[in-house]
Amino acid sequence: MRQWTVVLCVFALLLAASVRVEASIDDDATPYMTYTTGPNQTLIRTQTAYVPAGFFAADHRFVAPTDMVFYEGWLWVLDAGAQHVIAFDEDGHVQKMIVDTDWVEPTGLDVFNDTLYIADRGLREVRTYDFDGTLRQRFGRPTEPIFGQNSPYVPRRVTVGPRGNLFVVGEGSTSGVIQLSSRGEFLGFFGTNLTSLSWLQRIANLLDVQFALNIPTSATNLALDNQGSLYTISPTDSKPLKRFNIASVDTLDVSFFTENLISLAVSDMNNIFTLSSTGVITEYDQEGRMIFSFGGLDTTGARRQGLLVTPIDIEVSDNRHLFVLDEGLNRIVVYVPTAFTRSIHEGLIAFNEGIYDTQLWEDVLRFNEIFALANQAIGQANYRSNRFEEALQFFQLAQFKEGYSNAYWQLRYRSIQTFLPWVMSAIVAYAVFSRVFKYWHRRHPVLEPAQARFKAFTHQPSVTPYRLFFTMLRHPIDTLYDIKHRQRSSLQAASIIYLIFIALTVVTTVGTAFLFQQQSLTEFSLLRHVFGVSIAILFTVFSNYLIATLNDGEGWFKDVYIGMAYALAPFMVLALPLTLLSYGLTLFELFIYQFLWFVAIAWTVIYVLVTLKEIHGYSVSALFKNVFLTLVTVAVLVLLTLITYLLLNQVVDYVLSIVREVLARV
Amino acid sequence: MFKKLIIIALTLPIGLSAAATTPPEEDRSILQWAMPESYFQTNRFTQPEDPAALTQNAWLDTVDTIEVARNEALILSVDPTLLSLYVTQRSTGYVWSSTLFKDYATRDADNEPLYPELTSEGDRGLRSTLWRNRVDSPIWLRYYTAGASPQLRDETLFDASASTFTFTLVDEGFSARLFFAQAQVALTLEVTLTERGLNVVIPPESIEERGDQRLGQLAVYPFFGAAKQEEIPGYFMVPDGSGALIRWNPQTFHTIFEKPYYGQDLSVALPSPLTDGLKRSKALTAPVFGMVHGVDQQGFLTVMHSAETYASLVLYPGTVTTDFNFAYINYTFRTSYRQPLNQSQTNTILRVQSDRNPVSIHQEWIFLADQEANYVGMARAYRAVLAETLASPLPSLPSQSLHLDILMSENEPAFIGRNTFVMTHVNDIKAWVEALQAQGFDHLVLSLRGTSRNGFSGQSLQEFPVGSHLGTQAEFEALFALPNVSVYLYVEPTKIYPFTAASRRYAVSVGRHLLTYRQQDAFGVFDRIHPVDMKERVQDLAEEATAFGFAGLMLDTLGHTVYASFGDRPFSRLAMQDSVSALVAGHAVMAPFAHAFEASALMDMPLDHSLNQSFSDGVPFLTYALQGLRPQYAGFLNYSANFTLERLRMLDYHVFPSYFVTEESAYALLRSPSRSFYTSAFDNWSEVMIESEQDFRAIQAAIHDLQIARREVLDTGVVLITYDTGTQVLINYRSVPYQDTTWDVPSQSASLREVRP
Repeated sequence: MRQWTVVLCVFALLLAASVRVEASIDDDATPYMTYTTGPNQTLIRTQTAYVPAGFFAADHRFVAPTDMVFYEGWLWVLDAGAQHVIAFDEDGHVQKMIVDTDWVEPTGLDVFNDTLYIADRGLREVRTYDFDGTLRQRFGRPTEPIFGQNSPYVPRRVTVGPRGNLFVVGEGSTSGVIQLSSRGEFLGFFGTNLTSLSWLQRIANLLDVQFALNIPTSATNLALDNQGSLYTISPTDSKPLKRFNIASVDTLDVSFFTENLISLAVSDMNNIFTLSSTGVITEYDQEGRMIFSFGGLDTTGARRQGLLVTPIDIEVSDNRHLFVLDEGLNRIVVYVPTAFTRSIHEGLIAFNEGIYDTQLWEDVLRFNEIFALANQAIGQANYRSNRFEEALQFFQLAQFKEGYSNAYWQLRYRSIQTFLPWVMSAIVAYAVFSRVFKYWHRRHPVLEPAQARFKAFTHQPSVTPYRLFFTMLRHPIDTLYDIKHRQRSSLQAASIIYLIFIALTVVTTVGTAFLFQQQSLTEFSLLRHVFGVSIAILFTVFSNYLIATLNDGEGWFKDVYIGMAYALAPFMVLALPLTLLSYGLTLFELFIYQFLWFVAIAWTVIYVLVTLKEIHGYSVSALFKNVFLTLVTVAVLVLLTLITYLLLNQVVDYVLSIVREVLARV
Repeated sequence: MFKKLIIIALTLPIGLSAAATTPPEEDRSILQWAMPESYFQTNRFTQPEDPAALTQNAWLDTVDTIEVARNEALILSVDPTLLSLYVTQRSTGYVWSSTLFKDYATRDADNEPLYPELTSEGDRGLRSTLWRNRVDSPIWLRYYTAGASPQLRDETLFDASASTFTFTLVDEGFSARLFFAQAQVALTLEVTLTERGLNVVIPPESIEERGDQRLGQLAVYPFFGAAKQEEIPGYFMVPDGSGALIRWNPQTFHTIFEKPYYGQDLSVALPSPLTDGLKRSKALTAPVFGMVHGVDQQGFLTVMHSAETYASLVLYPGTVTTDFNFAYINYTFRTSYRQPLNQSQTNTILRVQSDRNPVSIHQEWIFLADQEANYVGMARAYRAVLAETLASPLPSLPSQSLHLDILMSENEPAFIGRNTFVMTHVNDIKAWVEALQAQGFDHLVLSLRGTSRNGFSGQSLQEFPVGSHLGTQAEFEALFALPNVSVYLYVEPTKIYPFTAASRRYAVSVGRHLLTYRQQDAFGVFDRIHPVDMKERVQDLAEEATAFGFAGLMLDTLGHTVYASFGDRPFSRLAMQDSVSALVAGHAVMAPFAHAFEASALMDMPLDHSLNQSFSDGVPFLTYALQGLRPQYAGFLNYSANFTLERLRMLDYHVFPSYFVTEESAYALLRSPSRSFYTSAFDNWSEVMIESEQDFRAIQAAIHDLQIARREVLDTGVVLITYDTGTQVLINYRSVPYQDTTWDVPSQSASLREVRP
């Protein structure tokens, strides 16, 4: 009873501890919060990055705007509903209007070299115009055979590269962005999205079974930066934001994506801004690091400045003000960078040039002590100045493993230089001492009685199960025979081994050096971990026993339970040394660390298979059948547990609703 | 002339420049970057005024009226056939009316307007009987029909021929007994003239519901001061957050604005869950609204003296339904609500509240003329009302003050259970205070949060929460003994988190939908404590805290959350409001609504409104109304992305800054529930605090006893505040210096022109 009380109290304490409190730290200048990247690629709150600054050209009401673009300081807006393109100067005054009543469904706009480019998905062509509105060229479906007879040509967005080449995003153009010359000749597809095979498709291929075609997704929007790299958005792709170099290779490593991307823009400093249909604007630096994410939709109709209704396009001006075209509001919403953001932009420009302005980044850190990029930049500055201890500290704060590894390597190198003579001397001294002692011990066997006592101790019945654990490493089959037929082990001993195993999994998870940690310790929960591993062991043992009873397995539940515990010996023996080893390695030696872990796990898996084979007396084919069915049973057990939980929830809800109805009506 | 010369001679342009010369672009830090000028044209800031002259409202109905009262400032007349009001401001001769000339848009047989001077192109006119009745009716009401499926219907006094009223002259006004035939509701309307305006009262005991219909809502003189589109220059003043103006510009004000005072009644409707990453909107913080017809010419402020917790402000633009901008307060006597029958709320029934809310209507129009006819005049008028009504004594008001909100400890997941760790020890705080006092900080307010043994998120209402790990009693006493330092104990008294020990001790408030209204904020689920339990616990805690040596409690949430409870222990929203008013006296309160102004210090005061697109300007109505009555502090300045701009705004709005600080770095909070705090280390901020406050010390010392007389926007981003003695402060928010014949103020700084007698 007391045990149960303790368990319940611990459970209640853990639940109470899960309560989270938040004080008001919101400024009132925006209706949205701003997030940035914290340590370990987590999202953290930060100061407001951009504040809403009203509507651009507030007196102008659009009919059905679809696209906009900056060209030489003017903002050009394609208003499909009004069948025209309007150019606004920086004060929002109309400077030009180009009308074409032939347009059917114009959706894309670009301006380059005093020429206007319109992509019309209804007409299925791209048209070019002079600034006086004269139609100059019409680019219909490419006639080159390389374009393909069945390739769709439904231009949706268009952008023009530095040499006048057109990049056209076409609806359903799964081969990539359509690249046309300035004369409309088809130059090829560019920036094709790659496909990946699902595990089901891989099995189907292996068995030579026909499967549905694996077609890449098509891009839906695009932009160019000032270095000529092409950025595309493919919302349904596993990597929705890409940057292609001239060789059509994706060079962007983005750590954080917003869902439902619809548009993007690239600033003068090559920072990337994406806009999602949920109204979230995200800024990345040119390396793909997420700097800011903010915004949202006005779902309650509160008409709050800065919230969007149906956003469709984003542009960034030379002074890094953001312009979002909203077809729900029929307006262009402007966002202005705050002092905090402007400072970060200055820091990023310097950072990208390899200048690590410590003072500037310390200023940023004052405003946000968790800002990963600032910690990283200060770490880099320290690294360059050979202050590796300080660099290590800042890299760890930023959770920047690459930098941490470099600094650690330098410190290790220094340590080796300092301590190598001492270590070598110690090894030599040990070797000499060892030989001398052995020689002396042969003549004066003073330790023999102790050795004999130790041997006698290990052969006691209560200790034997644990001695067998080590024997298992060298003679697994003999050990399993002893366990099964000579009853040399017990349920109690196996349970203790399992407990040690669980403890070792905890140690390897939380005790591995920072560089090799797989899981964020912030998210680690001891209770969840122990519960998860215990359930996995119990489900596996139970399922295997169930399957074995149906498939002529000779092992009893006790045999499976004990045998499986001994099968974990390789992992248990190697886990601790590998964890310790992680403190001596850097990412340059990652291969060694990973290989050793592979050996530990492969060895364990082989021992599990050998154990099952020996305990149940299976042939190899029967063994694999048993393993496969065991895994299926485990999956079924997990599913059943979930279903039971959900059904119980429904029953409780049903009873409660009856009680409430009675209370309400009586 | 001679007098003017003396004043000019006595005016010493001290020109206390608050900031150093703008450094070169490449040396700029976050503290020095300024915002672009376009930002100051947004509705977050006050815009320059248009000095359009207005002599009379041309859309008045010229009918025979009876003068019922007169004093030095005003004349009250009434049309006894409609009960329409006509108030004449004697200083300007301007007439305000509760009705208007309804035939202004009538056309002749040739479709030419009969009154071209009153008609504009596109006018709708008032052709529908429904709206003509609404314009005339002194009261609009809405009632629920009888039966199983109640419906909400509108009625005015002139919709049904069976509706009747009687009219009786009384001292300084009149009284009328009204009967609405469709709603079967009778009530008494009492209108009297006072020295400063007009009082309208509907005694709750006079309201009779004679049928099965149930009174739902009611509005009094909704068309009072109605102004035709842009043809009458002016604006509405809305007490949204710190205050906002809605100028009558159809480009920006083209949808109906409706908002309840003091936020939603949580007992009836829970606020809709927030989309991730969005903040809650500001509420209407004071029981007022204002209207100006011609800036600096004439205007009024409407004040509710009761029933504000059951009231909503409704503003109609001149582009919806009628050609007139008009505003009224809608009082809710009953609401309908969907009663969910299951947790997923897929099965509901519609119910109407059985008992009426305790709504006692007492609405006052305070008329303003000339230099008072603007939002500053409204703030001054409301200040006079507050000075009369605030019961708790006026606290001592420092010339300069600083609020430090200090997190002392927090907890985080440990190997087993949770580990409480110290963020700030009491000795650290003492050292900070001494360091700040050495730098000239004469007055400091500290609030300590996370003082319990389980840290901030483990703080419970059950025990007196000061853990020994934060310092000994003697060390705390040493802190309390420091001169000119008030130390408050942070308490969150309305929320109770499930599964904590305290949750079993306190009853949970029950919503009208009969479910406990468990809410979820950005990071957790909580219940509201029953108001009676809350009151008792806060009183006990206050006693314990003051006995320990604290100046009082720092009450979070309580000042801006008004909720009722139903079920076994009914407690009305009005009772909660009264309870809070009594409870906060002597304590500090965060982000208070007007009923919590009784507190001795007001924290987290709004400097903005809810950013509604209809708003044209943000104005410091609320903080100006409280200037000189209560010390006011803003939100955490170290969480502002535009630090210098926001500090200037605090000077402009007359509030002191606050900082959220700890001894340890905020990085230590990363694994804790308080991970939203991303900056706090005192060492990082102390230098900034000292430097930024030193800049304003002389200005604040010069103005702290003065009354604000006027606030003008000289140019976009340039604000001039004039005090009753003639002293002036100019605040330049812009990135460029401001220069004219009398001022030369660097960018992002403030300057003082002191008038010495």
